[in-house]
Amino acid sequence: MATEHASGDEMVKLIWKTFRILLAVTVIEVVCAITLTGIIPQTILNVFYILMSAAKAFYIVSIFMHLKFEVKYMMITILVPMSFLLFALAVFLAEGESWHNMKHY
Amino acid sequence: MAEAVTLTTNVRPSIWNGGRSPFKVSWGKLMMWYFLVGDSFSFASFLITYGALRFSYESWPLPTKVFSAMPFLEGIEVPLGFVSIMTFTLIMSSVTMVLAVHYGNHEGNRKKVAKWLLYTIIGGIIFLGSQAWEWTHLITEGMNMHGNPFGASAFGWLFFCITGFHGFHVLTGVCINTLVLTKVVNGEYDRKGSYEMIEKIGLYWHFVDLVWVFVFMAFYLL
Repeated sequence: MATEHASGDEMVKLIWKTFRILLAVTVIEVVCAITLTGIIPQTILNVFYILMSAAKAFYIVSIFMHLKFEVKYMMITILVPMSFLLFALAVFLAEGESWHNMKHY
Repeated sequence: MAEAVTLTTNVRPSIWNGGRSPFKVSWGKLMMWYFLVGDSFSFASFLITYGALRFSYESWPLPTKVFSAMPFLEGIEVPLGFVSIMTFTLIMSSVTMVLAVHYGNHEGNRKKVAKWLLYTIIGGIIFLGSQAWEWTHLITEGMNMHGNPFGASAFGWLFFCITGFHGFHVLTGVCINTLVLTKVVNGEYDRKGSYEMIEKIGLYWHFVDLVWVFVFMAFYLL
């Protein structure tokens, strides 16, 4: 079932293409961590790592887990609950910052 | 009976009226997805705890210093070398899994499915072995649930709990994959006429890879 969007060979090509993207992104991340840590500001590096990881997550979920080719409403029921996690992340990082301030008050 | 018929004729045709899946997927596959949504909340709780605690410390151990050991290369510093190999193994096993799913769905080719599923299991076992080595190395360096020689005391237990929870998922995945592999080899899915079970366990396996992306980012990069 599924994969009405592409013929067999095209799908296999897409899988290997996705693999190469994931591998390249990981290699770039590790090379940056080894060579650039301490040279350029950590904040810039961290933003870069988060964006790259989000890109990897997108490729894994959309191609490998095939979500890109599912019905739109199904995608919504899976992805929308994840927005709670962004909220929780923001709240708890602020909380951690406040623990830090209390320790050093 | 007659009443029911008149009722349905009054309702506008819609995919939500029942009788078919509005999402065009089977019940089992949809429930696997919702299980993974729940599981992602468990992992997110762990990783958010990691973030909050990390923010509460003045300083945090530097990953390139902590994770720089390689098996067979004692005394030589290879920052993030070993974990890159582990990450490669997991991505590779995700590819072999998606190929198993593909050959199951498209060709119903028992031999190809069994071959790629076997590679996936081997990848999972290599990953688990690598993790065991890494844990052993860190424990002999003095890292435990209470403290570690690298800095912030919470670093150790967060590392063991989060990578341990992930490793437990990999172990579960390897067990389920092995079970399904025996069924593939026995021809159970040929008799059923559907290789959808490979797709379901595939979703679980990719999820484990997905979680590793974020565990890897949190512990080894940020």
